[in-house]
Amino acid sequence: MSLDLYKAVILEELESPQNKEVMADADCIKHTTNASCGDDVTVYIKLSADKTRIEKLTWMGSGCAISQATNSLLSEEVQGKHLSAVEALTQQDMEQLLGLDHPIAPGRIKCLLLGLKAIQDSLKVLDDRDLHSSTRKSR
Amino acid sequence: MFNPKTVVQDFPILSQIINNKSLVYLDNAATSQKPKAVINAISHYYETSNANVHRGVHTLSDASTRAWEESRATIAQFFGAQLAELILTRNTTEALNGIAYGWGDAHISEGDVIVTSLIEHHANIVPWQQLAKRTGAKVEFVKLDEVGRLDMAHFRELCQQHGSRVKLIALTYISNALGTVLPVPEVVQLIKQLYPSEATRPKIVIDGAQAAPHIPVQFDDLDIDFFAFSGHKMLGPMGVGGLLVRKELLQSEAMAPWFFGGGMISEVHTTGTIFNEDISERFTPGTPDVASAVGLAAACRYLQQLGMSAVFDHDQKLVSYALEKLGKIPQLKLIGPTEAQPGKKLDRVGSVSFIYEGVHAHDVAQVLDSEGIAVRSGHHCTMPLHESCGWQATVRVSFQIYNTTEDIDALVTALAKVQHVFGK
Repeated sequence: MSLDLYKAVILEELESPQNKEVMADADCIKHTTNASCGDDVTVYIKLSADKTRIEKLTWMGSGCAISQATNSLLSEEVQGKHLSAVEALTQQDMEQLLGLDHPIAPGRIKCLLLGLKAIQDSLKVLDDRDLHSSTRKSR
Repeated sequence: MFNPKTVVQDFPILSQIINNKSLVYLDNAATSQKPKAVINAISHYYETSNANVHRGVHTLSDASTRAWEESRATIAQFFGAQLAELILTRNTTEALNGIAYGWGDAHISEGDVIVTSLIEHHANIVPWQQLAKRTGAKVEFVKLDEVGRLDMAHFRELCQQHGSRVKLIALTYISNALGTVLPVPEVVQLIKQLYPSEATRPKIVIDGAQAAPHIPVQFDDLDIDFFAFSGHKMLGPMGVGGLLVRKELLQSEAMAPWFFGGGMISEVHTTGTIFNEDISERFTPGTPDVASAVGLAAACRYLQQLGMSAVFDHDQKLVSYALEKLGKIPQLKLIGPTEAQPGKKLDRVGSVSFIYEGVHAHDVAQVLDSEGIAVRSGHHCTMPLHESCGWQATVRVSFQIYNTTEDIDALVTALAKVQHVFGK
């Protein structure tokens, strides 16, 4: 793979990550690790009053440039989004977020998806708690 | 001494261009490349001798059986073991699991202790954890000192604390993550001293995955009970490895088969089965991977032609050169032993590992790949080691007979690009 993986946008996110802070009054906190390289991320989610949208999302964690830049861009991307739209996000969406014009190498897929997995897993937890299922399913 | 620049010509894959650069393959601790002699031996087997072993009376079956048996003999001889001590497996992992099932289940019970160390590959941890779970035993981990050497005082302490409850000692010979050589003879001596009676002495398992490609191994001289290895790290094909078991253990039937089926039996009745007396057959149920065994035997012959002492000397030259050159890069923090202990040789073989301050190991490896240099990044299947040392991920550079000091120079040059990309 050539080095277009490390475009200016990624390095910029790495330098000044967005929404990278602990949230004290989160509705849900989810910690996820990437077993292949020790990367970790914790996402903090605050839902809208009607529990259908992400009102605010922050994150903390450490890892490689790909996971850190994706977490940063994704945290901005999901603000205000409907939960079902966030649940529908895919690897391809993450690749687009990073501005990649081709699929990421297999060895970096887990780096790319770490943050998304944490967010989607925490929405599942919220689902299990049945906090918002009735409103979301009637979308 | 052989010339690595001549040797490299035997490895077709190494003439490749990667990202417009000549490939520099420094991920040998993960798997080595294969010489033409190995590739040709496998092709030749399939082109001339392929048939199932043992069961046919026709000519091809004879040829295949002969290839299988000759390969086993070559492999056993390479490791200084007797033919009756070799069980061919898929790899080191399967060999270690074989000890857990074939010996452990019958000899480990509740309250017993299995001693391993923090430096081990997961393959030399997880099977023991599972064995402990099945039997109610406990796994204890020997600590490491600050540079990643086995803490012998702690090892002694653990043995003294648990006494005759210690039934199994499972250590690697050479760390796959750091290249640290563990003092196997010293370990064996200590165990003999602490447990003078053979009846209560714990069995010693050595994970030889990283030792097999780099140092001369004489199993019968090591005075251990089990030695596990993988073919693919020593120029052989993937899918074949082995477990050497002290002959007395196998003959006493203390070691039982852990896979069952055809080939490993002498009689099967509806009321029960009698296992084959022949060791090689008793532990190899089903159709064996004859072609891979033939390939591994070819790898053994190739290494023997170079001479394992020369192979070791070559590695030591590369390790010293890499430590010297990489040690001069201010951003790098070398991990594992970098200097010999007083009065001893440097106890590091095969690998040099580092952390690039401020840049994640995966990103370092990605930038190096863009320069055609293949290294490993991550935890290298040694999470307890990384956790105990507080490392998130590390970069590992590992060598084989075809690597040169120029490869290390190319690595040093490429590392400058990391600084260029990340500004660190």
